[in-house]
Amino acid sequence: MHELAIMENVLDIAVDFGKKNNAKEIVQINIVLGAVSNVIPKWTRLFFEMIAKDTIAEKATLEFEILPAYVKCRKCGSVSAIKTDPPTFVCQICGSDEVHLLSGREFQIKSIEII
Amino acid sequence: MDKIRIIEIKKDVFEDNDKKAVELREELKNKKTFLLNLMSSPGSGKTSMIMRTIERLKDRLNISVIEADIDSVVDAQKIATTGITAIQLQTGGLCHLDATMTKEGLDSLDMEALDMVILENVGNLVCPAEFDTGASKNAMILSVPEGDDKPLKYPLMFSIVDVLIISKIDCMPYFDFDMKAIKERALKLNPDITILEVSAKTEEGLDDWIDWLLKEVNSWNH
Repeated sequence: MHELAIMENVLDIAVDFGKKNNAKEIVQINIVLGAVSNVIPKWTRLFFEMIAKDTIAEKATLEFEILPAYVKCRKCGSVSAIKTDPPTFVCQICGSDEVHLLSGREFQIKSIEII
Repeated sequence: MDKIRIIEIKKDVFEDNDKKAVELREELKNKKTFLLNLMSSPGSGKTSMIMRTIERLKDRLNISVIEADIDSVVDAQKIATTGITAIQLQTGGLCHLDATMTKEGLDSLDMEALDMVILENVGNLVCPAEFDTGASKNAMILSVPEGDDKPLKYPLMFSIVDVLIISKIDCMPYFDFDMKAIKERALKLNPDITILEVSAKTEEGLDDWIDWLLKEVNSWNH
């Protein structure tokens, strides 16, 4: 729902790094996204196109690498990667739903590709 | 054709906000001002809860309210009838508040003179949970008519708050609201959560909320 605000951050960071590295153009932005991060790549692309107009990132492709979501079970202590489509917060070892999310909410700009 | 260069960034998109939130929390601690971030869906009774809270505490604490509801001054005007300062942040349709916007609101108040500021976040159970505002404590209100299944639909919100206020409990006879089930669901997501049952209308349970809040304000401000 707040993809627009987040994409403004992404654009600022990418353009900032691009300019520092004398980029004429940013051709790709590589993003690492946790599987349960509430961010939908389709919408981020749409918003990004809107806000990136007339910047050096205007033609940039957004590439998403999705990281699995891991939980730690409070019952059996196991760590497992949960099913994420749709997200089911259940221990994959013993089936308990008393789990604590260890990862899966990441949203990181890994790198940019520039010319 | 120009050669493509890859520049490593490895920067978390939320990093700037998280940093600002930590700075704001330090500033609040130094100035002995407790900031409560109050979140809920629209219509859960945030403004009524704030009104009751002010009535109970305004003789003991210097309080102000920051309103963030979307482009309207209705809530701020209602709060102003209690005689305390309420400012309205114009969020321009944004679905959440972040630490920068919160700081802007606080800067327009006299923080040194205040014991507590209540931040009425945008009515929404999704986005406000993602952004640290820099508040001392995070609270959410869930009203009985909204249903006991909300922890299943909005797990992040329930997992980040310090206290869950179940409001409008005077409506319990008219709804199939399972109090035991919601408590179990919330505690599974967040074993440290405090859960209170309150009616702003009949004031049932209001003492528990006021006690919780006073304890937190005192431990923050001393």
